[in-house]
Amino acid sequence: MPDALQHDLYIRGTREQAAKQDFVASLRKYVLNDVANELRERYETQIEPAMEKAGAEPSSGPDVHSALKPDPLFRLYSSIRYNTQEMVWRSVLRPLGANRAELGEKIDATTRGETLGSLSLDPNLEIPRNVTAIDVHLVPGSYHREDPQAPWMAGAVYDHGFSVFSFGMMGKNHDDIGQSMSQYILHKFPDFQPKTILDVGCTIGHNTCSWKQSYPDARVVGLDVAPASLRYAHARAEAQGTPIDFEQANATALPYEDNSVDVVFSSMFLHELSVKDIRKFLAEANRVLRPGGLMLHMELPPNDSLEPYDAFYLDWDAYYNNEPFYKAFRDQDITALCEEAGFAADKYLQFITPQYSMMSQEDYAEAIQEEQGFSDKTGRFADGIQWFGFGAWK
Amino acid sequence: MTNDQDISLDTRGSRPSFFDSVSQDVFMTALLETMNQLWATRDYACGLEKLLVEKGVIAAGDLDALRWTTEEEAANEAGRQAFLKDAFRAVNADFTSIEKRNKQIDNFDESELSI
Repeated sequence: MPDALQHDLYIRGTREQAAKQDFVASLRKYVLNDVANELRERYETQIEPAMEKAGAEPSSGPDVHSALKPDPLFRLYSSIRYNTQEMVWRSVLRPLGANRAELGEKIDATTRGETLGSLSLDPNLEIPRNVTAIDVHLVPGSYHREDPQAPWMAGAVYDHGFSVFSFGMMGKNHDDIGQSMSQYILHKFPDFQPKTILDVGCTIGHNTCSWKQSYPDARVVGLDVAPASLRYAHARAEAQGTPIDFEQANATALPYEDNSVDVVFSSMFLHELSVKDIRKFLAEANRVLRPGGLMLHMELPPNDSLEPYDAFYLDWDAYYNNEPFYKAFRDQDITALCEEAGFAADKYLQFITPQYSMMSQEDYAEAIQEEQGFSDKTGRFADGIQWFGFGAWK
Repeated sequence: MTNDQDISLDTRGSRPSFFDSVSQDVFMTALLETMNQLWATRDYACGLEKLLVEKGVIAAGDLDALRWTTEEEAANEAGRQAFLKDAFRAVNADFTSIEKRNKQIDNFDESELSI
């Protein structure tokens, strides 16, 4: 199942290691589909009716969470999910540790001499506390792990771990979000031809590469604060033959002139930031965009767009998956955030799209003709997931 | 054997306790890891490979180079899902507290027998 990675930096490990990764991927698929569906049914058929009968109808995600906490099925579901998250990383750390030298040689060979893209690191940039203070997503060493023997290890852990985590749902080389977002814009706004595209908080550049595929004439840049992820991202893009420039920079201080870029994109990134830093980032996006440029963020849907149970379901990660900023972001009024950053209210954009990599181009083009509303599939990592995008034109 | 002991596997910070007793959380971790190890059947596979190489049936590395066909991978996935359904057959079962169970026996009433 983790064979979703189809580039030369993929380390498969021994048969035993591969079998364990397959098992963990299957376990995640099982808990996020079967057990999650059982939990929802338990809530809808037993817990919610009992609350309504008692005159305490749940009106928010926290209400649902409070009601479910004592429930044995909630506890079991949560325990399996938490353990599985740990097992994801453990299942890839062992083969990566054991094959450090082999992967290092591949990375050196890929990035030596003339390359298609580039890597620019800033030794004076301080990695912010939202990355260093905790092991985000329970990843040992977080996304900045500095391994003297393997200065790209954090990126390799992310890439290989994501393969197990996503149980084949994220497309070839995990590019589905980038494909779905960029193809949506390409289909809906065919006259928009960006020349410079920034993917901010790009980690290993898996979605950055998609923008280059959708807009081959544009210069595409991936920015992140973590050098270990960027070193790997550079080698990964080169291994795929995709010219991307990677730069170490903080989203709150983009190293670009005013009115100089056409797209500022991010995916699953805002919820890793404090609301204060989100405001700074959006203001920076507004500053660097040219008039007519697009700010676009792929994110989990805001809580006020969801039913209480669905809000609770997504908020699980904030409480139990080392995602401390996740809920606070999803509690925000995102249209107001865009306006505060300087974008006009009538330039706001939002949409929900199916997964581009899960269907033919023709079917995708047809599927996005009709506007989709929020549902229990929006942002929920399970069969039939849909992605949410929002932003604004400048 | 390769050396994988010099890479940190542990996440910083405390773990949430989902059950009434931390021992249940510990048991759950042990159970899931055991299931994982069971699937991998490390000793069986390694022993089998060693014997096959020694007897000249396969060459060293043949097993690591093996790739499942799409059909074989689909069958493997179906097998894993069936295994998980078996293992978690008690997920939504009807449970009774031991206090209630004790009371039923202590105050046994044949007319309440439901089976």
